[in-house]
Amino acid sequence: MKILYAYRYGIIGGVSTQLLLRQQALEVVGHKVCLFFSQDNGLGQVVSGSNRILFGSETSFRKLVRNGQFDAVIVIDSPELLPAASGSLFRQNPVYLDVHTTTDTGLGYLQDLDVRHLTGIMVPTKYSARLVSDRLERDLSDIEIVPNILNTEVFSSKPLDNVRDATESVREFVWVGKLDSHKNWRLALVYAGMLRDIFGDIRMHMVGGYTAPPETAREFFGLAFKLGLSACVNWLDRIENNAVAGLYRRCAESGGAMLVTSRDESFGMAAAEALLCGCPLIANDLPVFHEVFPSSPLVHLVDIWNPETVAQAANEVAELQRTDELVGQLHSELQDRYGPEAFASKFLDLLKTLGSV
Amino acid sequence: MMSKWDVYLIRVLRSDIDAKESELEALRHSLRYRVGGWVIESWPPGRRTMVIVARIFAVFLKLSWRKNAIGRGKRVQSCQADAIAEGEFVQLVIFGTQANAESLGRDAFCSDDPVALIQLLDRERPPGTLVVRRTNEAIVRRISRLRLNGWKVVWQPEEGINEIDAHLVAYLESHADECVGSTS
Repeated sequence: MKILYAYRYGIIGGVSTQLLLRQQALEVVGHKVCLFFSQDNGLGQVVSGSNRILFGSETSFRKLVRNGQFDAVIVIDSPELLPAASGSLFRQNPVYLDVHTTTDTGLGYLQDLDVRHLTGIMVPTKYSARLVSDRLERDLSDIEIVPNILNTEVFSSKPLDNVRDATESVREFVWVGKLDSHKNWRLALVYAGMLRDIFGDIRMHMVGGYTAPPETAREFFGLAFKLGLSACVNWLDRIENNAVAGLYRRCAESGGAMLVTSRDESFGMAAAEALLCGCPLIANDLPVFHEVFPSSPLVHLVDIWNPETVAQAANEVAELQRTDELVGQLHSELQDRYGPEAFASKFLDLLKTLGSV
Repeated sequence: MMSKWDVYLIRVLRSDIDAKESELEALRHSLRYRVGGWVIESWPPGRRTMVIVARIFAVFLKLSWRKNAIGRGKRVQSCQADAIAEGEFVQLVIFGTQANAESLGRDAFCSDDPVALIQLLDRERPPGTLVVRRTNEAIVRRISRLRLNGWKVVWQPEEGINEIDAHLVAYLESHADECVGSTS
């Protein structure tokens, strides 16, 4: 089969990471997968050299779908690409919409979208399915759930090269996200201060924010200074997967955790990756996390606006006996649900059911 | 009497207020909001309307020019950093000025232009030493990543420099491998 995924933002982030994993998962089972991005916001530098990852304008997209003879074209949250996606009149590509955003603003395009010409609509979670069906005023059964893929090889409690990760002598915590209101980075800094007051010297690794505007970066340093955290906070604006997996393992070994302060999440990729590495989670009690994460002593879902509950979770994490069995069991469960095989199986069944194959 | 949790709760709520204010500021400065304001100001039609129409036309021209400039692949900044190829080892990178510029070897790069330095530092290359002599958020936000990748970071403030950001200095002093002649 020949498949095309199309998305607007060629940025190093959750969706592009997901697309690269999907491409790999489907190619392993013998299918050809192209990725198209109508903007290059930095991803091009990282994936240069691949002829199956393309960047271009809407015009080049139109040409691609006309000539590509795809068995399926999946457009992710980029409504401007949908009209052209079916290609030529004489040989129409089946077109699917894949909705990954869960913010009100992000989902706004669904209100005016005519979905009658789409072969199917898919989302990564039941939570997303409810949001999409409300906005499209369609039955839930019309929305297919195709799970995200987790990179269970890189994200594991054992390093790939078997070299033990270097550790500091302090308790380490990690937060991952853009420096925006949605991910709630300011709250993460406030809690870094609280964790420092509880445990003494800590390290809070803030991962992400490579594209944060200068004024946001200045605000970040300003708030860290105001809270007396300039020495505790470690801003890693960009980091490779292997290194971030090492960071998760270090946080786990030190008795720390990943902190998730997001107001909402569509899946929680970073959080799931941290769990795969055995790193406990202290996360905002979001509906999607109940769906995505198995129940485990490593997972603490709390009212993120209540400092007392966050502090209680941090103390529980500090006392947690992280056994290989506990960590391994969670890794296994996540792999069963979100490994490449689970995605490929569900995705290809869907295409078969809806007549693309 | 306030409990210790109340203190944190106040900070939590304040962080939320700051987030919402930041969003509001971004909205106020957004083009859509500003143009909407002009449209309201231009009614009922009068002399003011002509001013507004001219302003909207100017914005349209500016956006078209910017879009075309990006489309032509126009370089915003050409810089010496381009001469240093990706993957090439640069032993010493200095942000700011170097007293003895002539003594810099061929494998050294010195600039007070943060854009030039970012172009150099963000490319894949073997780690060297970064000497930070001035404060700039674009450079400081990268130092932890550079250190993780094996770079040595030295904070050596220039003498007599007036524009020093205390917040950035605090971060630099905590995270640099070495502080030479620090202001604190």
